[in-house]
Amino acid sequence: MQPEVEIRFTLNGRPVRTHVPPTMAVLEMVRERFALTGSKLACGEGECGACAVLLDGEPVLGCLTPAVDVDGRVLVTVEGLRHKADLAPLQKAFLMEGAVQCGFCTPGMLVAATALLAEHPHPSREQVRRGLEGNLCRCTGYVAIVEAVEDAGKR
Amino acid sequence: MTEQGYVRPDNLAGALDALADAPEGTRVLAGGTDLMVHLRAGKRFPRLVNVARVSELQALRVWGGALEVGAGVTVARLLRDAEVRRHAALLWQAADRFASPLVRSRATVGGNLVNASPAADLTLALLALDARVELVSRAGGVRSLGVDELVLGPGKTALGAGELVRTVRVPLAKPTAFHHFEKSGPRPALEISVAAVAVALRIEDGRVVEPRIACGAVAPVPLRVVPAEQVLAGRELTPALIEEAALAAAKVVRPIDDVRATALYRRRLVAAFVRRSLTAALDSQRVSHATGS
Repeated sequence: MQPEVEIRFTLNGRPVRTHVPPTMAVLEMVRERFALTGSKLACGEGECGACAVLLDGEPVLGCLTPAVDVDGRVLVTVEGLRHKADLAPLQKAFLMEGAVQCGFCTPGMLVAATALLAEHPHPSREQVRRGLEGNLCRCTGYVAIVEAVEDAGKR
Repeated sequence: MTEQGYVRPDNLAGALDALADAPEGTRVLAGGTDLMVHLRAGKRFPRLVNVARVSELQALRVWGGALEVGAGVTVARLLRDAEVRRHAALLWQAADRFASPLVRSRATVGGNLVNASPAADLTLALLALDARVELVSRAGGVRSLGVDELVLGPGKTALGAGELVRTVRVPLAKPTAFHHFEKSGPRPALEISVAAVAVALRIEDGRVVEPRIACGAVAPVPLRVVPAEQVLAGRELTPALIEEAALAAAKVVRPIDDVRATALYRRRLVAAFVRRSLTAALDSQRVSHATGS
């Protein structure tokens, strides 16, 4: 057994603390320690982006980021994207455009697109495509997803 | 893994202590974009030294005539930095083509170097930029190696026992410099290069000065194609000379057939990328003449 390490950080706006094995990834920590199951395990190799979360505002792979590295920092999962009781404009745009098919890639897409919109509030189609380069949709519903993000940038 | 097996030092001295008595097979963990894949697949290491908290690896500044890049600097940070774009455009271009935003936010310069992949994009740019890599250890102090002296083969480096990459020093680009990076892979994002070419040269009084052409994924290590550089050195850049250099580069590389591409295809890509890079250099010269700058 690995000795666990205590970490304290801000999770979706609330200060939290937990104990994790040093080799545990952020993805398993949020799912198993905090029951936040929006972030998905798909490839586990950094190819698909279904596990994406925001660390100090930067989009990172939950599956490849050590949980101990979030100590003292600000972590946001897909569950933290909503604006109080309401959905974020980006989430509403996904609904309006029908940008969700099976839904498995959606949390990662929303997280990556949130980071993109923070950097480029009104992104071009090319900027959207590049911002979502690390996220795969196996339903191949990319057109609606890209349009939803563009649309959110126009709101 | 025991308590000894995972160390999270607070500073450089702590990291060097953890490496000084480290068992064979010890690995340094920075962004985790490579090592975490192995950990998830069940691979175990006798010791992991997580250097995320080592602030001495985070330098990014112009200092002493060079751009100093700490080993822990992420690809995303390179992209956001105006000094990198201004003084080492080739490194910036390689960073821009690197993997995906999700990987760029964690992957580090030091990690790209010591993983020693034949296809490493940043390493290729650093090779063409004549960068020097500073290694530190508790016992041996500091030593400095060229990229070609550090990277010896796939996954193999000249890092000695207890040594850590601290900093990479990139000479500042002169105003006459031209930098160009080209790569190709099966998917626009996250591609492991099928072939990549990094070109750095200067054009002074109409002639090519100190040309550097580095090719990735076409030899066991990122490779400078010296015969192609010799074709260019001191000569005036013309379409005929560009063709000569492109063919020379394709001749020197030693690509293999693998699941990603055939050797023949890779050789042709090298010629095409060298041609494209040098043509861009020629065009940039015409533009600067036309605008009188």
